[in-house]
Amino acid sequence: MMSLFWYIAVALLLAGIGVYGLLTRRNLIRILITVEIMFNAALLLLLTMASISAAYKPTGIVLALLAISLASAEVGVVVSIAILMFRLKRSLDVYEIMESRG
Amino acid sequence: MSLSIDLTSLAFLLTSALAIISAALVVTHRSLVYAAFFLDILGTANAILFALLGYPLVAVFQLTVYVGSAITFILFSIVMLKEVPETTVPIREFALLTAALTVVALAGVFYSVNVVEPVVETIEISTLTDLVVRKYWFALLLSIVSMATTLIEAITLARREV
Repeated sequence: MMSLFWYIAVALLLAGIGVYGLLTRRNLIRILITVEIMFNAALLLLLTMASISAAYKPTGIVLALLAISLASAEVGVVVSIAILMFRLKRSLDVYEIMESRG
Repeated sequence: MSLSIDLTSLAFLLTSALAIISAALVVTHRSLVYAAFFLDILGTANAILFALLGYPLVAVFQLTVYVGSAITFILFSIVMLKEVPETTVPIREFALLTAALTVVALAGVFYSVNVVEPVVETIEISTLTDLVVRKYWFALLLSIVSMATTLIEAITLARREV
């Protein structure tokens, strides 16, 4: 059985990659996808921390299930907004969308 | 027994390598379609890691709800859009530094748990249901309301009623 340290290390690396992608990209869909990487990292971290004790495990599972449901809902909303933006502006660049608001 | 331990460690190493490589490809690949595909692989690798940690229910939920519907939804939506040339923000050094600082800061927070072995114990579904209904009923209610709102919002946006 691997130590929890390695699971935490994987989660932190994923979070770092997500932060890098979030800062360097301007496409709305790409930003959503990089945020999803960070969500995956946070979920792995949550379940890793819940594995410390048997008392935390049920709470960890319930929180993870709720988080996955809400993340799926959030994906639906953001992708719908992106499709609408693309129809209206013919672009998914967040800088262009910010400049032309109002 | 030792063979099973070795297999678990091997599965962890392969899955974590797959997850990290997929995440890197999500950020660096030029095509959005391939980026969504690699996100799909990352979600699957994460589900395997959950199963290795002793959460088979969360792993199945991740595969069916998250990978099976949410990421596939992104993938199909991108196919509907025309691929546009992407521009990147020219702050790669700053972004790398910020990402490294994030990792170091989080590692400092979680440094104390580096020697603990994970507790692998099966939780009954009835225990979970009981916990949700008795203790987390408000969170469940909020989730249901959020998802209903999301459904209405997505339908409204898709019909261009805004």
